Amino acid sequence: MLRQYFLRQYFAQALLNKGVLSREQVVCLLASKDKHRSTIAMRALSQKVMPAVQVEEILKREEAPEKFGALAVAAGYMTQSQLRSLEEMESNTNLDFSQGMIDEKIVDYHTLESLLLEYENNATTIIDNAVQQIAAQIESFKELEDECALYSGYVDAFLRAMAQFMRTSPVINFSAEPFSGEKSVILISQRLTGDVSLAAGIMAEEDVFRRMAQRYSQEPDIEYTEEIVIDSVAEFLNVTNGLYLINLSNRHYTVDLAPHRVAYNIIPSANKQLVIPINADFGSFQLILAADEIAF
Amino acid sequence: MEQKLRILITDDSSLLRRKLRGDLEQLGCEVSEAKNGKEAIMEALTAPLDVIILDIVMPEVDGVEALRAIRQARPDLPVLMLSSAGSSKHIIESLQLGAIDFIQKPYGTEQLKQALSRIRKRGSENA
Repeated sequence: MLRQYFLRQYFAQALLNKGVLSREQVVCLLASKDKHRSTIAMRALSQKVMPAVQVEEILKREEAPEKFGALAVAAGYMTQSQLRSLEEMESNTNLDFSQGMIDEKIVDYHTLESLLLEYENNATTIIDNAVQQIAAQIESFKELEDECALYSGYVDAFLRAMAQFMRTSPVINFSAEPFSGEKSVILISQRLTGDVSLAAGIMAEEDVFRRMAQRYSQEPDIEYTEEIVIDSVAEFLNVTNGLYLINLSNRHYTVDLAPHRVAYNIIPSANKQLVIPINADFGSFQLILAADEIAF
Repeated sequence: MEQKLRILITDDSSLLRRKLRGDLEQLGCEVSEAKNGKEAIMEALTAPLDVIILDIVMPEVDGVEALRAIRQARPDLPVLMLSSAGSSKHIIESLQLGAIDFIQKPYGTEQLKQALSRIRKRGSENA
């Protein structure tokens, strides 16, 4: 189940970690995700129904793309029943993202096939690697393996919650984009105390906060006043931390949640603080993690 | 015809109160709101209520403290916990203090419906 989740979710992150795609390319593909819906050719490749060599052979026949399935069946590369399964299959983030890379001619099917294979073999370490890459840039973090493991676990839970509750596929960036300075920057943080001490905060410009709030609350008909915006993002953080807390509780840690705190236009500072820049299709923000309360 | 349940929602999030109010009104309940445990205790002492819904993580007076106070003042008033802090510790503590149910956030309407149905059933058994 967990492995299936990783396979659906973190392909873009894996390509960014590996340097196959630049941050700009990932952001661009995430932003245009609705333009790229996975084709039968893409589904056949990703489900290993057909290898890249067969996919490209059929595509080279210069017939209408919608005939791909029928041509593949006629060539004996898949059965009618396999075609039906591919047609009925629900698309997912990785499939649409892969389709975007093909449509934008960033990779061909052969390269994509190798990347997908490598991704499947390393899927469960992707978030650890991304957090470690960020931590490695900070001198004081080089000796803090336990904190890195704790933070990686949290980041994974956070990204999953974003995918689940905001229907987005966020990626971790390796260098923070500076805030423009033209808009207010908001920080909402919440602390977990007990057997595990961790503070987590979401920091973003107000317009990103607003879009994040709209995405989470799914209330198209309300006016997004500042109170609703703050409450929505705070509730998202609270729910995410609650799910993380249950996970810790299942591992026999006793942890409590403190009420959230809000600050405007501050530079956060805390013990063992790590700033994780995150890009989502609605904008960029920073996830601030620390061992104790974030001071402001 | 079933009598409308009078429910007090206690949560510091205006978004959550708004969503919960909408869902409960759809289920035929009469809804009032409190923003923290202190307000919930005040309402429990003064307002005619059939059920209180309490979040746990709130500023000023949290949900567990409020539950303790409400149970002392009105031991027969059903209290339903609705919180993100759903570890076994929080669930056990709430149930030991007399909460009749615990729903983990984010809640589903069906969970809410079932909890209210149990409360109605309990009410008719005690009547």
